Formats: sequence, C-alpha cells, structure tokens
Amino acid sequence: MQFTSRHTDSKLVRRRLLVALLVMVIMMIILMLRMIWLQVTHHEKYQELADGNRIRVEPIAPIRGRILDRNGIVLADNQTAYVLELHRDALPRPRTLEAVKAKLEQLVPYFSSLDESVIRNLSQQWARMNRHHPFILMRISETEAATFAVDEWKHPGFSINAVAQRTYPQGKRASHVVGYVGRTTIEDLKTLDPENYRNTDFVGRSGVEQSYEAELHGQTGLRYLEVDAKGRAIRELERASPTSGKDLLLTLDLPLQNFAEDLLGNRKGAIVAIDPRNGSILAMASTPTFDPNQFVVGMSSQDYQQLIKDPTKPLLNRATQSRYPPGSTIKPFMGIVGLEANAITAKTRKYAGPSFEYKGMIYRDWKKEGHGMVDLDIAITQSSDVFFYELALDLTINRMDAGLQAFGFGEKTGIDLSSESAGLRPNPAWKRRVHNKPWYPGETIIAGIGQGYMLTTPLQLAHATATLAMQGKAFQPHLAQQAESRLEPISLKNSAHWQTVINAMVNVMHAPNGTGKKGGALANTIMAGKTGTAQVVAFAKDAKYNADLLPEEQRDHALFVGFAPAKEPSIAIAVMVENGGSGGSAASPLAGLMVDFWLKRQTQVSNPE
Amino acid sequence: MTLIDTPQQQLAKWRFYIDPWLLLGILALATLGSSVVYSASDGDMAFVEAHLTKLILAMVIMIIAAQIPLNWYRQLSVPLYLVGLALLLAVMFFGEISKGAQRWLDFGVFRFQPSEIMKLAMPATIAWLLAKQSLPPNWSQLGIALMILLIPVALIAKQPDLGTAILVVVSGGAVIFFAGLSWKLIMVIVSVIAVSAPVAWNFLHDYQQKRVLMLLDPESDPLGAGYHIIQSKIAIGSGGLEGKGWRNGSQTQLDFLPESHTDFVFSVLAEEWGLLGVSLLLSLYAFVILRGLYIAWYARDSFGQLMAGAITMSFFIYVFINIGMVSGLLPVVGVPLPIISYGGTSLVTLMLGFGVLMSIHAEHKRQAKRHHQS
Repeated sequence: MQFTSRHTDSKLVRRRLLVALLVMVIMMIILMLRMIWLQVTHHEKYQELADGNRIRVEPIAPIRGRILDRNGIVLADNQTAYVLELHRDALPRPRTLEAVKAKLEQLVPYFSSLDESVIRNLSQQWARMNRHHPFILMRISETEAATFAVDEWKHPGFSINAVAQRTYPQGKRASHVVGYVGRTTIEDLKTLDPENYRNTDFVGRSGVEQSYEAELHGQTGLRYLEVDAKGRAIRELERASPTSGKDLLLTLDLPLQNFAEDLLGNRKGAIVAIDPRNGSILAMASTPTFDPNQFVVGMSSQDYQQLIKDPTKPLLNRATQSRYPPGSTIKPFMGIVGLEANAITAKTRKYAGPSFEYKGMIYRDWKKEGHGMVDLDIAITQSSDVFFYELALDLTINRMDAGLQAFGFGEKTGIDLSSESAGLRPNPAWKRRVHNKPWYPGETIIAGIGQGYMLTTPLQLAHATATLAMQGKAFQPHLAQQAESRLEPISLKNSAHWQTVINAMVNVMHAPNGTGKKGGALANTIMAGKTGTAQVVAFAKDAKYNADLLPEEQRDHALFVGFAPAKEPSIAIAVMVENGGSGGSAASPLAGLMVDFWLKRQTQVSNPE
Repeated sequence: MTLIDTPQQQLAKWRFYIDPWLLLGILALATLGSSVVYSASDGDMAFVEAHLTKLILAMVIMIIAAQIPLNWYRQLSVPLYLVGLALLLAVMFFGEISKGAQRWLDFGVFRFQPSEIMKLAMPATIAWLLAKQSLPPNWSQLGIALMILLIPVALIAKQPDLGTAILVVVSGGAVIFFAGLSWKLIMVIVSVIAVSAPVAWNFLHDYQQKRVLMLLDPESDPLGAGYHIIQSKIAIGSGGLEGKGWRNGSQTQLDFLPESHTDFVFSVLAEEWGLLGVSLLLSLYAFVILRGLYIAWYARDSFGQLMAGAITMSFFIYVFINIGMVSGLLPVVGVPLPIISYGGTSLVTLMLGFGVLMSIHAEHKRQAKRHHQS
C-alpha cells in the first residue's frame, strides 16, 4: 500500500517537473529573444548611444553651515584650503596600492607634509574607498599647490583642488560644545542618506557639529559633465546647485565661556551657566580642552593615541559626561524635599553635634566641634551634615528619591548634545537590580549629604539650580537658539518653602559664617548658593584629612551651585573643580566672579557706549 | 560480522558524496563570473580575491551540506523555520537600517539577513508537511502550507525587501506546485493576483512604484531614476554579437554603468562578451538546471523530490529576474545574478541549496550502502 502510494506520488511530481521544465524553457527563450532584440536587431542604435554617451552625473557637496555664538562670533567656519587629491580611475595601470605608493615617493619633493602618515592613511582607506570619487590625500600650502600645478600633467591621477575646509577660529575655546568634524567613512553611510552624502568628505563627530549634522550639512547638488571618449570631463552642461547648510546660532556667550575656561585654568573641571528664565546655556566650560582643528587637518595616529590616552582626558566633556558625587550641593534640594514632605518645618531645630549615631554606627560632621542647635537655615548656611543625616533618615530613601527626581537628578537633561550621562540616583530597587543587595539605612543617611552612590553631572546640577532659582518653573536646557520649551514645573503645596531655602542660600554667600562667603564677596550683587566638597576616597574614622599630604587625584572635588541676582535670577551656575579641595575656597569664588562678569556684561549690552 | 566497528572500519564505511556534474557547472560559472568581476572592478585584484574567498567558503559549505543525510534536513526543517521566523521578528524590532531598509541583524562579529534562512527552511517545512501524506495535498494541508508561506513573506516584504520576498514566494510556491496543487486552484490564484494587483500597487513604497514606472518609460527621467535601466540597456545592446572584448566595454570602464560588479554584472558580460558570451552563460545555467531536474526526477522520496524541484526552480527564477531586470523586462528589485555577482549573503544560501540537492541525490548511494550492510 505504502509502495503504490509512493509510486503514484512520484508520477504526479514528475508530471509537474515536466510542466516546470516547459515553463523554464519558454522563459529562457524569452530572455534569449530579448538579448537578440537588444544585441542584434537594435545593436546599431545602442552602439551609437554608447559612442555618444558623454554625460556623466557628479555630485557637488553643499557648504556646511557655520556655528556662531549668541553675539554672532564665529565658532566654526569654512575656509578655502588646497588639497592633493588622488583619482583612482585616472591612474595609469596597474592601479594597485603598491603602484600608488611608488608614485607618491616621486611626489615627496613637492610636498613637505608628505610622510609616512599620509601613506598609512591611504593604505587603511584603500580597500573601502570609492574609486570613482577623488580621495583627499592631504592638505597642502598655497605655494606647494602653485608649484605642483605646473607639473601636474606629468602625474596623471594626482591633482590639486581647492576645497572648503572646516576651521575653528576660536581654537581650543568651547571645543566640547562646538565639537569637530571627521572624515566620512563607509560606516557613516549606513546611517546617513548615501545619496545626500555622496561627495561629503567630513561629518560631525562630536558636540553640536554632531547633534545638528542634519541642519548643518545641507543638500547635495548635481552637475552633468560632458566627457570625452576616455571619460575625461570636458565641460559642465547643467548644474543643480547644492543647498548650503544652515548657520547654527548658539545661546553660548563666547566672552563668558572664555572667562569660565580661564577661571578653571589648568585645573580639571567644569563650569555650566544657564539662563534660568529660558534654559539657554550661557557657558559650558570643560577643562582641559583640545583643538578641534587637529581633527580636520588630519592628525598622525601617534598624536591621536596620545590625545585619547591622555590621563587628563581632554576629549571628555566633563560638564555632561562626567559623573561626580554632588556632596553638600544637594542640601538645598534636600531642604525643599524635607519641607514639602513635612519631615521638617522652617522652624524645626535639631541638635547638630560633632557626629550622628545610628545603630552603633558613627556618622561624623565635617566640623569637628559640631554646629549646636540648628534650624534648616543655619544647617544650609553652615552646611551641617548631622542635620541632614537625621532629615534623610526621617524622609526615607523612597521619598528622597521621588523628590530629587523632580529636579532631574539621575535623568538625562535632554540637552542637544549626544552621549550625555544620566548620572545616578540610587534607590532600593536600583540597588537590588544592579548589585543584587538590599538597601541599608546607613546608605540613606549618607545620601542625605550627597555622598554614597549618588552621582550627578555638572549640567544636571546647573539645571536643578535653575529650577530652584525659578521657584519650580523648569525649562529644557539647550545650546542652539530655539523657542523656549517648558518642562513640567515643580509645584509645592506651600510655595513659601522656596523662599525659605533661597534665603538660606543667600546666607551661605553673605552671612559671616556662610561657607560660600568668599564667592559672595566677589559677586557684587546679592546671590544665592551652596558649596559642596565631595570625597574621592573614604578615610578611616580617626584619620585626619590633610590635602597637602595626599596625592592630587585623591583630594576632594570642590563643588558649587548658585544663582544671581537672588531676587531676579538671570544666571544659574554649577562649578566643579576635580580634586580642587573645599567647595568654599576652590569653587565658590569662581562662581562669584562668573556672576560679576555676566551682570556687568549685561549692563554693557543694554547700555552700549 | 562484528557488532561494534573499530574506528578503522567506521572510517572505511564513511563515504564522500558529491555530484560531479553539478560541481562542474558551478565551477564553470564561478570561473566566468570571476573574470567578469575582475573587469567590472577595473582590474582590482582585491575585489576578485574577496569574491573568490566568498565563493570558496560557500562551496565548502555546499560540500559539507552534501554529506548530511536527507533525513536530517527533514527533521531540521520545522525548528529552522521557527528560528527564522523569530529572527525576522527580531529584525523588525532591533534590525539595523541599511540604505533605508531594515533587513540586517547585527551580531557584532557579522551581520546577517534572517530572510536568507527562509529561502530554504520555508520550502523544506512545506515539503515536510506535504510529504507526510500521499499527494496531492488535501484542503487542510494546503491551508497550513499557505500560512507557512505567507507569514514570513509578509514580514520580509515589510522590511521592505521585495526581491527576497519574491524569491521566497517562488521557493515555497514551487513546493506546493510540484506537490500537485490542482490546476483549477492555480487558475483561481492567478486570477486573484491579477485582480488584486492594483490594490497591491498602493502598498508599494514610493521608490518601488518609481522603478516599475521607469520600466515602462525610462526616458522620462534619463538622469534620475531611469538612469540604471538606460545605461544597462545601452551596455547590453552595444555589445552586439561578439562583444567589445574583455575589459574594453566603454559603458563599464568609463563608469556609466552603475553597480557594475554586483547587480548589473550581467550587463558587463553582455557588453564585453556579446551575444556569444550571453549564450555561453545561459547554456551553463541550463546545464545546472537540467541536472537539478534530473535529481528531482529520480529522488527516492516525495520530500527529496519536492525539495530538489523547489531548489532548482528558485535558482532559475534568480537568473530570470536578474537578467530580466538589467535588460529592462522587469523592474529593478535588487536580485543578484547567482554565482556571478560579487559578494552577497545570498551566495551562501544558494550554495547551501546545491549542497541539499547533492545530498538528495546521494540518498541512492546511502540506500545502496544500507542494503549492502544488512
């Protein structure tokens, strides 16, 4: 039975195979007829078309938009530069890499910068470069271009071209914000529109150059070239002009930016200044900086290695990518959260001695003798640790977590720069997920003074301070000038709490025992602020912190947040000096000077001489 | 006869299976293809080396596949189909977008197109289903087979990858056709497709619609979307009877012909080798296809017969679509010319198919060995 069924099955399939064969034969005949139609019947017509095929389409790259600060000062520009190009399809055969290298040897007398690195770069790109488009070998000087132009005919495949090259006239200034462009690679074309980038040599790699790539780039044009029988271009027949990229106007104020960078000097750190009334970034300094021009001109791989291996990490944008414990700068925010949760009132007084004891553990205050009886105002002014240890414990970690989240801690601000860090806002769920361990009350206590797991970026601190300065009104921080975008505001049950905390922050700056009085004295206005000192390494109970005896990388980070004028804030600032020591002496004076500089600049701008 | 073989005896029993005729046809095509790729890439040995490396790798896979007993493929078909389906869904959510289409899964080390799995796993699953009972299939079997066919096709077409979707439809449809789908039903399906074509038109992407329109009137936009077809037709037509000679095609060498070493490699051959070269190429393809049909004709069971038929049919459709596309008979859908075009993941799938074909034929020898041993 099985056998007969198999037999009839096989016969059925074989019949169908014959049908399939018939279909395939017919289709094969159709293809052959088509070929005969094209290659025999109409051969002459197509032969003529091929002989007369003289129009080649070539893309023209658009001019990249410039980047300007709020005053119109140019941060990124295009300038004419001469380059030596390689045209692979114009080379004499054989067109191998070895042959090109040999040719380059002959060109050494013409160009002073023709060295090993050019050849190495060429070798690396050789296999993946588009052989129909000219490849930029290197930048050359105007004199070299003129000298070579005379002999160019002797070296087919090599030619001089004038191209628009990206330059950053401010050099190392604001380099983390502006970013830089780098050579377009095959990898880039997987994410970019390959048609629009057919002839684009450089794309934005970091900073706003990267995040506004689409706006800055523009639209590629086309030109129709008449070519001779050997494929060489004779003349241009028609052109669809490219559309230049749009200029990008930033909210940054270059003089303030320069001032901030100079304040940091050769220390590692960051200063972020925001206009709290609309979220505009006025300055975003990160030191050390780098010169973005190096990336365009082409850097030897040795220089590049040196740059990325530099222990001071100049390429890192410390304002948005580095995470630091906020230290005592968290205290004003803790104050708001505590008042709002009724864990304390403005009148609550606690005894803030030299240390706080909980379940046999001792949590010390930074001030050996303690602060005595303090309320919230004094606790912020003098930065009492014990007051906030107790407050944190009363609040519980979950209420603290929810309150700090409202200020944007632990979340990306969404600024228009890529690779922003979200910082870290710890809570029991996070600890369970990441460390698979329960949350200990001791961790709540130290979180109350911004130590432990909590990490913030200087940008987050500035953004949270701006929100506090505006009594809860929050704006999206941004670098490009655009319509202001409001974020969900923080509304308190009792809005008087804002003023309570702000008054305390004014005392920080101007009261005789305020921790930030060094900065307050420099501001020339009434400002509000809070200092912070974040421990880098933990010390044994009885060890005494002595900065002078410590290696630099173990010294405390100095922090400061503040805004001014206290009554009508027009600038909110976060300062972070890595291993700078105490916030009161290393960070708050920088903020005071920033405020003074900015307010004077504003009066200058509004009353021009 | 001992109960347990010594390793030496086991080794002696192991036999190497390969179909010399198929291998011969493939080698001839590969040789022809490499010389065309060499010319199309402007004499760049780097391209030819990369092409040969991929060919050799794919052939090794083919030879290994030929050694695997057919029964393994039968049993692997359903699990592979399910894995393929899961990966297609993964592409939808995590796939990498390349040239505006979402087809790739990135595994870090290599990128991979899950639709390739379906080209073999899907027909194998349908063949497994239909061969379980006597042919022709009944209504419920047909219903299930249709579902097995249409779910992955819908996912692939959505990526959007029309070329691959068509090839996958053909490979699965061929199995159902060979299994004896009644002519009445075939007529019904053909008329349904004819009626629904205008509706389907609206589901095509703009660029797909444009390509179909260009086919009807390429001269309407000679420097834009119609450019590929016009230049390709000029290349083929100007080749004439004898061609312009190897590496002498002006269309190819002066870069008028786009994608000359990948999808449009046929036009290079037609320009430089003329109608004679085209005839040689088509004869080689015909030889391979006839050998495939021969294997299907004599396959020992229905599963083998259906698979062999479907693999051969798909191979032919590849050839037909590519040549039809570059000669202006069909819209440009991005199907490479099998074995000749440079690179592509599809090469591995194609050779794996030939390996399965060889394995189907090797069943005769495996059966003879079993008889001999018992």
